[in-house]
Amino acid sequence: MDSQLQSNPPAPSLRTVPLFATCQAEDVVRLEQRARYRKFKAGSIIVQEGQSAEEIFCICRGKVKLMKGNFRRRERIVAFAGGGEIIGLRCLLGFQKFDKTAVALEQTEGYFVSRSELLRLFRKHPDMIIKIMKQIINHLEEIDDRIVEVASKKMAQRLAETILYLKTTFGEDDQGNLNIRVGRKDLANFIHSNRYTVYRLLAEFRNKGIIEFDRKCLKILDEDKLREIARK
Amino acid sequence: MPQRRYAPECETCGTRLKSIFKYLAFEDLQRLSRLRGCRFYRKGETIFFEGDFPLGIFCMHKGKAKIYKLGNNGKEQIVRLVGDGDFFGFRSLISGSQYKASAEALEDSAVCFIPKEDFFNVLQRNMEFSLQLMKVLCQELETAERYMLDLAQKSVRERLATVLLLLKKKYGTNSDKQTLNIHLTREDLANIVGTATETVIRLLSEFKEQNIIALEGKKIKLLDVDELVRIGNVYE
Repeated sequence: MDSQLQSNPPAPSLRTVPLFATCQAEDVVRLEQRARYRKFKAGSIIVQEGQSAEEIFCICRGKVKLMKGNFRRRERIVAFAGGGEIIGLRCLLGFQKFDKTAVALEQTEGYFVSRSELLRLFRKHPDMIIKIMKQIINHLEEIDDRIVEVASKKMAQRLAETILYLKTTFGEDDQGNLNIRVGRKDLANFIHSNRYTVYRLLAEFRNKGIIEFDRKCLKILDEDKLREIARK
Repeated sequence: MPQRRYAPECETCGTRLKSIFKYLAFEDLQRLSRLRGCRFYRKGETIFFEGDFPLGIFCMHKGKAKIYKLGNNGKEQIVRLVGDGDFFGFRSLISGSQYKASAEALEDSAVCFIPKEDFFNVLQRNMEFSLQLMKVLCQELETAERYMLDLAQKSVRERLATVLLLLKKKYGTNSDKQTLNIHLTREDLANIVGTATETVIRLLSEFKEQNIIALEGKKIKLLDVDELVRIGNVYE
């Protein structure tokens, strides 16, 4: 297929993905040989909602936003993912179609691993199943929390919580900026609001000296205050 | 309604065919049948509490239950409903943490209990079983995600219609094919929809006036399912 996208030598190892970190070297090597290595530019689609999930995408480097279908012409961002995370795992294991579209937020590289390879690995290491189950359960708990949160919280709280979530997920760079660039529209989709509200709230936070922002860069100045708002 | 002291055998349990335990080998099943317990819960009784440590997993033999969490403001939010053959309380068991939600019987229910060690034994021996369990988990995740998005983006009216359809899908209907096979208090309904009880009552009577549903005590009859689909923007 698109072989020109295949990268030259310095491809990162699949070992950077925590799921495979404990596998024996030979297993990882075999997996790397059989998997397809791909690089995506910012904005390109990695997997498309509705395709049947025969492969998972293991992110080695980069950041990805996960979106769900058009609902009243609004894209709904369900989650963000970064290096070490796996996309489509539960669709593949649940024998479903991909239920989300993954779009690269910046240059993203990783491996496509097929179902048969994955199952072969599971047969060899049954404890991996438990490990994955734990991950899925963690994810489920997060979603349940968000159900409660969405049902009972106000926009400012959600935004504060989202900013904290972005920080824990992606960290900060040397200047203290959040290590991810998200536009207002992305933020609005994530907290299920519109970008005017987001802009107003961000400005409010800035006036209170809680955050600083410039275009897509976001910097947390007063994390305690932010936590306080998120908890209220 | 299940009777007290009625303990089914796993091998002959009809509910089993609806659950993931149908993927178990016969020997495993026999073992499980010996090891598991069955307990009867009255309506409103709590099966487990948020914050407890799990000692095993629960499997609903016959009955209905709600899984709920408390929000920061102390308001209850139902996150999941349990029907015949569903198993619950296993997430915390597998992740080795405390229960993250509470479970309460919505009507008189018979619930089987499988102790922790025995469940893990089966899980480790039987790859097919664990893959199936994973499949269930994945599907649960998808449902939960959709639920969350509905909560966030739909209006209360849309949500109520969606929830009514969801209840129909989950618990089915009585022999008249219209009356929902579950009796929820208005408060429970509000806690599923994620709104105040008064709002649910108001919207229900609105639906009733438009002849979309009929109400008789706690019984809800869905007269016009297509209209509900339209109101709820349910596209699946």
